[in-house]
Amino acid sequence: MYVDSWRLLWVAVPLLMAALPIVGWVRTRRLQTSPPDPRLRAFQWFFALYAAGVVFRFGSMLVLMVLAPSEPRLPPSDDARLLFEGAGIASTAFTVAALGAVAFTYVRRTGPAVMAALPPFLVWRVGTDVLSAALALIPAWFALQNHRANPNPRTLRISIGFGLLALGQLGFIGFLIRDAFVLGPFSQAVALAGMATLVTAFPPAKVKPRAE
Amino acid sequence: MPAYRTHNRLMLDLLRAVRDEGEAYTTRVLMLANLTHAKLQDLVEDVQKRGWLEEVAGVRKAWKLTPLGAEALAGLERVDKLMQDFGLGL
Repeated sequence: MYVDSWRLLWVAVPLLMAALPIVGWVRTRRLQTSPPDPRLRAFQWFFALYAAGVVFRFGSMLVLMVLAPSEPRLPPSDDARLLFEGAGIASTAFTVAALGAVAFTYVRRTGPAVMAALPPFLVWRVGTDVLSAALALIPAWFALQNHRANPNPRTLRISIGFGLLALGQLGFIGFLIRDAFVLGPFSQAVALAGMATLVTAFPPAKVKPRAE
Repeated sequence: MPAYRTHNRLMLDLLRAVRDEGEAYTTRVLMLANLTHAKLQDLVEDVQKRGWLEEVAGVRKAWKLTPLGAEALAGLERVDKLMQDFGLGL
Protein backbone atom coordinates (compact mmCIF):
# COMPACT_ATOMS: atom_id res chain seq x y z
CA MET A 1 0.00 0.00 0.00
CA TYR A 2 2.89 2.28 0.88
CA VAL A 3 4.59 1.55 -2.44
CA ASP A 4 1.33 2.15 -4.34
CA SER A 5 1.04 5.66 -2.91
CA TRP A 6 4.52 6.44 -4.09
CA ARG A 7 3.65 5.10 -7.51
CA LEU A 8 0.69 7.42 -7.72
CA LEU A 9 3.08 10.25 -6.96
CA TRP A 10 5.38 9.01 -9.72
CA VAL A 11 2.55 9.51 -12.19
CA ALA A 12 0.84 12.56 -10.69
CA VAL A 13 3.94 14.74 -10.48
CA PRO A 14 4.97 14.26 -14.13
CA LEU A 15 1.39 15.06 -15.15
CA LEU A 16 1.58 18.34 -13.28
CA MET A 17 5.00 18.97 -14.75
CA ALA A 18 3.70 18.52 -18.28
CA ALA A 19 1.12 21.29 -17.80
CA LEU A 20 3.63 23.85 -16.53
CA PRO A 21 6.07 23.91 -19.48
CA ILE A 22 3.08 24.07 -21.83
CA VAL A 23 1.91 27.19 -19.99
CA GLY A 24 5.45 28.52 -20.27
CA TRP A 25 5.51 27.84 -24.00
CA VAL A 26 2.19 29.65 -24.47
CA ARG A 27 3.46 32.66 -22.49
CA THR A 28 6.74 32.89 -24.42
CA ARG A 29 4.87 32.51 -27.70
CA ARG A 30 2.54 35.37 -26.80
CA LEU A 31 5.46 37.55 -25.86
CA GLN A 32 7.40 36.80 -29.01
CA THR A 33 8.11 39.82 -31.15
CA SER A 34 8.49 40.26 -34.86
CA PRO A 35 11.29 39.72 -35.89
CA PRO A 36 11.52 36.88 -33.38
CA ASP A 37 13.74 37.42 -30.38
CA PRO A 38 16.34 34.61 -30.38
CA ARG A 39 16.54 34.53 -26.58
CA LEU A 40 12.79 34.16 -26.22
CA ARG A 41 12.83 31.53 -28.97
CA ALA A 42 15.38 29.55 -26.94
CA PHE A 43 12.93 29.57 -24.03
CA GLN A 44 10.13 28.48 -26.36
CA TRP A 45 12.28 25.49 -27.35
CA PHE A 46 13.15 24.88 -23.71
CA PHE A 47 9.51 24.70 -22.63
CA ALA A 48 8.40 22.65 -25.65
CA LEU A 49 11.20 20.08 -25.34
CA TYR A 50 10.85 19.88 -21.58
CA ALA A 51 7.11 19.25 -21.96
CA ALA A 52 7.85 16.47 -24.48
CA GLY A 53 10.36 14.95 -22.05
CA VAL A 54 7.80 15.02 -19.26
CA VAL A 55 5.15 13.40 -21.46
CA PHE A 56 7.54 10.51 -22.16
CA ARG A 57 8.42 10.31 -18.48
CA PHE A 58 4.72 10.15 -17.68
CA GLY A 59 4.41 7.40 -20.31
CA SER A 60 7.20 5.37 -18.78
CA MET A 61 5.68 5.75 -15.32
CA LEU A 62 2.32 4.69 -16.69
CA VAL A 63 3.91 1.57 -18.17
CA LEU A 64 5.47 0.90 -14.80
CA MET A 65 2.14 1.30 -13.01
CA VAL A 66 -0.03 -0.65 -15.40
CA LEU A 67 2.27 -3.45 -16.46
CA ALA A 68 4.19 -4.02 -13.27
CA PRO A 69 1.81 -3.70 -10.35
CA SER A 70 3.96 -5.93 -8.12
CA GLU A 71 7.46 -5.03 -9.22
CA PRO A 72 8.69 -1.72 -7.82
CA ARG A 73 11.25 -0.81 -10.48
CA LEU A 74 10.94 -2.59 -13.83
CA PRO A 75 8.13 -4.25 -15.75
CA PRO A 76 8.48 -8.02 -15.88
CA SER A 77 8.04 -8.85 -19.58
CA ASP A 78 10.64 -8.02 -22.23
CA ASP A 79 8.17 -5.98 -24.32
CA ALA A 80 7.06 -3.92 -21.36
CA ARG A 81 10.66 -3.46 -20.29
CA LEU A 82 11.57 -2.28 -23.80
CA LEU A 83 8.64 0.13 -23.82
CA PHE A 84 9.58 1.44 -20.39
CA GLU A 85 13.23 1.86 -21.28
CA GLY A 86 12.41 3.45 -24.65
CA ALA A 87 10.15 6.02 -23.03
CA GLY A 88 12.83 6.68 -20.42
CA ILE A 89 15.50 7.27 -23.07
CA ALA A 90 13.18 9.59 -25.03
CA SER A 91 12.35 11.49 -21.86
CA THR A 92 16.02 11.96 -20.99
CA ALA A 93 16.89 12.98 -24.56
CA PHE A 94 14.17 15.65 -24.64
CA THR A 95 15.15 16.94 -21.19
CA VAL A 96 18.82 17.17 -22.19
CA ALA A 97 17.85 18.97 -25.41
CA ALA A 98 15.62 21.40 -23.47
CA LEU A 99 18.26 22.25 -20.90
CA GLY A 100 20.90 22.33 -23.63
CA ALA A 101 18.95 24.97 -25.57
CA VAL A 102 18.88 27.33 -22.58
CA ALA A 103 22.43 26.51 -21.46
CA PHE A 104 23.73 27.24 -24.96
CA THR A 105 21.91 30.59 -25.02
CA TYR A 106 23.68 31.58 -21.80
CA VAL A 107 27.07 30.20 -22.72
CA ARG A 108 27.37 31.64 -26.21
CA ARG A 109 26.97 35.15 -24.80
CA THR A 110 29.58 34.78 -22.10
CA GLY A 111 32.22 32.85 -23.99
CA PRO A 112 32.99 29.24 -24.72
CA ALA A 113 34.68 28.58 -21.35
CA VAL A 114 31.71 26.88 -19.74
CA MET A 115 30.87 24.90 -22.86
CA ALA A 116 34.46 23.67 -22.89
CA ALA A 117 33.78 22.04 -19.53
CA LEU A 118 31.07 19.86 -21.03
CA PRO A 119 33.08 17.58 -23.38
CA PRO A 120 34.81 15.78 -20.47
CA PHE A 121 31.36 14.67 -19.35
CA LEU A 122 30.76 13.22 -22.78
CA VAL A 123 34.24 11.72 -23.05
CA TRP A 124 33.90 9.96 -19.75
CA ARG A 125 30.58 8.56 -20.86
CA VAL A 126 28.77 9.41 -17.70
CA GLY A 127 25.00 9.14 -17.78
CA THR A 128 22.76 11.56 -19.58
CA ASP A 129 21.23 12.42 -16.20
CA VAL A 130 24.56 13.83 -15.12
CA LEU A 131 24.73 15.74 -18.40
CA SER A 132 21.23 17.17 -17.91
CA ALA A 133 22.14 18.16 -14.33
CA ALA A 134 25.30 19.86 -15.61
CA LEU A 135 23.27 21.68 -18.27
CA ALA A 136 20.71 22.76 -15.66
CA LEU A 137 23.49 24.18 -13.51
CA ILE A 138 24.66 26.54 -16.28
CA PRO A 139 21.56 28.79 -16.40
CA ALA A 140 21.27 28.47 -12.60
CA TRP A 141 24.80 29.82 -12.22
CA PHE A 142 24.34 32.66 -14.71
CA ALA A 143 20.93 33.60 -13.29
CA LEU A 144 22.45 33.76 -9.80
CA GLN A 145 25.30 35.94 -11.07
CA ASN A 146 22.78 38.18 -12.80
CA HIS A 147 20.75 38.50 -9.60
CA ARG A 148 23.87 39.47 -7.66
CA ALA A 149 24.69 42.13 -10.26
CA ASN A 150 21.13 43.35 -10.73
CA PRO A 151 19.00 42.42 -7.71
CA ASN A 152 15.25 42.72 -8.17
CA PRO A 153 12.30 40.41 -7.40
CA ARG A 154 12.21 38.95 -10.90
CA THR A 155 15.94 38.12 -11.09
CA LEU A 156 15.59 36.51 -7.65
CA ARG A 157 12.64 34.45 -8.86
CA ILE A 158 14.52 33.41 -12.00
CA SER A 159 17.63 32.36 -10.09
CA ILE A 160 15.51 30.39 -7.60
CA GLY A 161 13.63 28.75 -10.49
CA PHE A 162 16.76 27.65 -12.31
CA GLY A 163 18.34 26.64 -8.98
CA LEU A 164 15.41 24.38 -8.07
CA LEU A 165 15.38 22.92 -11.58
CA ALA A 166 19.09 22.10 -11.27
CA LEU A 167 18.52 20.66 -7.80
CA GLY A 168 15.74 18.49 -9.17
CA GLN A 169 18.02 17.22 -11.94
CA LEU A 170 20.78 16.55 -9.40
CA GLY A 171 18.26 14.64 -7.30
CA PHE A 172 17.68 12.34 -10.24
CA ILE A 173 21.36 11.40 -10.13
CA GLY A 174 21.01 10.64 -6.44
CA PHE A 175 17.98 8.55 -7.23
CA LEU A 176 19.89 6.57 -9.83
CA ILE A 177 22.87 6.02 -7.58
CA ARG A 178 21.04 5.19 -4.38
CA ASP A 179 18.20 3.36 -6.07
CA ALA A 180 15.81 4.93 -3.58
CA PHE A 181 12.20 4.93 -4.72
CA VAL A 182 11.40 7.97 -2.59
CA LEU A 183 13.98 10.31 -4.12
CA GLY A 184 12.40 10.18 -7.59
CA PRO A 185 9.12 11.93 -6.72
CA PHE A 186 11.01 14.29 -4.42
CA SER A 187 13.34 15.33 -7.27
CA GLN A 188 10.35 15.74 -9.56
CA ALA A 189 8.57 17.88 -6.98
CA VAL A 190 11.64 20.13 -6.64
CA ALA A 191 11.96 20.40 -10.43
CA LEU A 192 8.21 21.10 -10.57
CA ALA A 193 8.62 23.99 -8.12
CA GLY A 194 11.51 25.31 -10.22
CA MET A 195 9.52 25.07 -13.42
CA ALA A 196 6.53 26.84 -11.80
CA THR A 197 8.82 29.64 -10.62
CA LEU A 198 10.30 30.04 -14.09
CA VAL A 199 6.93 30.00 -15.86
CA THR A 200 5.55 32.70 -13.59
CA ALA A 201 8.57 34.88 -14.40
CA PHE A 202 7.07 35.34 -17.88
CA PRO A 203 4.17 37.80 -17.85
CA PRO A 204 0.91 36.35 -19.16
CA ALA A 205 -0.28 39.56 -20.85
CA LYS A 206 -0.03 39.69 -24.58
CA VAL A 207 2.19 42.18 -26.34
CA LYS A 208 1.53 42.17 -30.04
CA PRO A 209 3.91 44.20 -32.16
CA ARG A 210 3.43 42.01 -35.23
CA ALA A 211 2.99 44.00 -38.37
CA GLU A 212 3.21 43.29 -42.06
CA MET B 1 35.43 37.81 -29.17
CA PRO B 2 33.77 41.22 -29.78
CA ALA B 3 30.12 41.49 -28.80
CA TYR B 4 28.06 42.44 -31.86
CA ARG B 5 24.55 43.75 -31.56
CA THR B 6 21.86 41.42 -32.84
CA HIS B 7 19.36 42.48 -35.51
CA ASN B 8 16.69 42.93 -32.82
CA ARG B 9 19.02 45.12 -30.79
CA LEU B 10 19.83 47.32 -33.79
CA MET B 11 16.13 47.64 -34.52
CA LEU B 12 15.44 48.53 -30.90
CA ASP B 13 18.16 51.19 -30.93
CA LEU B 14 16.84 52.66 -34.19
CA LEU B 15 13.23 52.83 -32.96
CA ARG B 16 14.31 54.34 -29.65
CA ALA B 17 16.36 56.98 -31.46
CA VAL B 18 13.41 57.92 -33.67
CA ARG B 19 11.01 58.00 -30.71
CA ASP B 20 13.33 60.21 -28.68
CA GLU B 21 13.76 62.62 -31.56
CA GLY B 22 10.10 62.80 -32.60
CA GLU B 23 11.04 63.58 -36.17
CA ALA B 24 14.43 62.05 -36.71
CA TYR B 25 16.92 63.08 -39.36
CA THR B 26 19.47 60.66 -40.76
CA THR B 27 22.49 62.19 -39.07
CA ARG B 28 20.84 62.21 -35.64
CA VAL B 29 19.68 58.63 -35.98
CA LEU B 30 23.14 57.53 -37.10
CA MET B 31 24.60 59.17 -34.03
CA LEU B 32 21.99 58.10 -31.48
CA ALA B 33 21.66 54.52 -32.65
CA ASN B 34 25.39 54.25 -33.40
CA LEU B 35 24.85 52.80 -36.88
CA THR B 36 26.67 52.94 -40.19
CA HIS B 37 24.81 54.54 -43.06
CA ALA B 38 24.50 51.25 -44.96
CA LYS B 39 23.15 49.47 -41.89
CA LEU B 40 20.70 52.29 -41.26
CA GLN B 41 19.37 52.01 -44.82
CA ASP B 42 18.83 48.27 -44.39
CA LEU B 43 17.08 48.70 -41.07
CA VAL B 44 14.90 51.58 -42.21
CA GLU B 45 13.81 49.58 -45.24
CA ASP B 46 12.91 46.68 -42.97
CA VAL B 47 10.94 48.71 -40.43
CA GLN B 48 9.18 50.72 -43.13
CA LYS B 49 7.97 47.48 -44.68
CA ARG B 50 6.56 46.55 -41.29
CA GLY B 51 4.81 49.92 -41.08
CA TRP B 52 6.69 51.01 -37.99
CA LEU B 53 8.28 54.13 -39.47
CA GLU B 54 7.00 56.69 -41.93
CA GLU B 55 8.85 59.30 -43.86
CA VAL B 56 8.11 62.93 -43.03
CA ALA B 57 7.67 65.21 -46.03
CA GLY B 58 10.20 68.02 -46.11
CA VAL B 59 13.46 69.27 -47.54
CA ARG B 60 15.55 66.86 -45.51
CA LYS B 61 14.82 63.19 -45.15
CA ALA B 62 13.28 62.42 -41.77
CA TRP B 63 11.28 59.65 -40.16
CA LYS B 64 8.77 59.39 -37.37
CA LEU B 65 7.32 56.50 -35.46
CA THR B 66 3.85 55.25 -36.45
CA PRO B 67 1.39 54.07 -33.76
CA LEU B 68 2.19 50.52 -34.89
CA GLY B 69 5.88 51.29 -34.48
CA ALA B 70 5.30 52.64 -30.98
CA GLU B 71 3.47 49.43 -30.12
CA ALA B 72 6.29 47.35 -31.61
CA LEU B 73 8.88 49.32 -29.68
CA ALA B 74 6.96 48.76 -26.44
CA GLY B 75 6.92 45.02 -27.17
CA LEU B 76 10.63 44.90 -28.00
CA GLU B 77 11.51 46.88 -24.88
CA ARG B 78 9.36 44.68 -22.71
CA VAL B 79 10.93 41.48 -24.02
CA ASP B 80 14.41 42.99 -23.74
CA LYS B 81 13.80 43.96 -20.11
CA LEU B 82 12.49 40.49 -19.34
CA MET B 83 15.46 38.80 -20.99
CA GLN B 84 17.87 41.10 -19.18
CA ASP B 85 16.31 39.90 -15.94
CA PHE B 86 17.17 36.40 -17.11
CA GLY B 87 20.75 37.61 -17.54
CA LEU B 88 20.51 37.55 -21.33
CA GLY B 89 21.30 40.98 -22.67
CA LEU B 90 21.04 41.53 -26.41
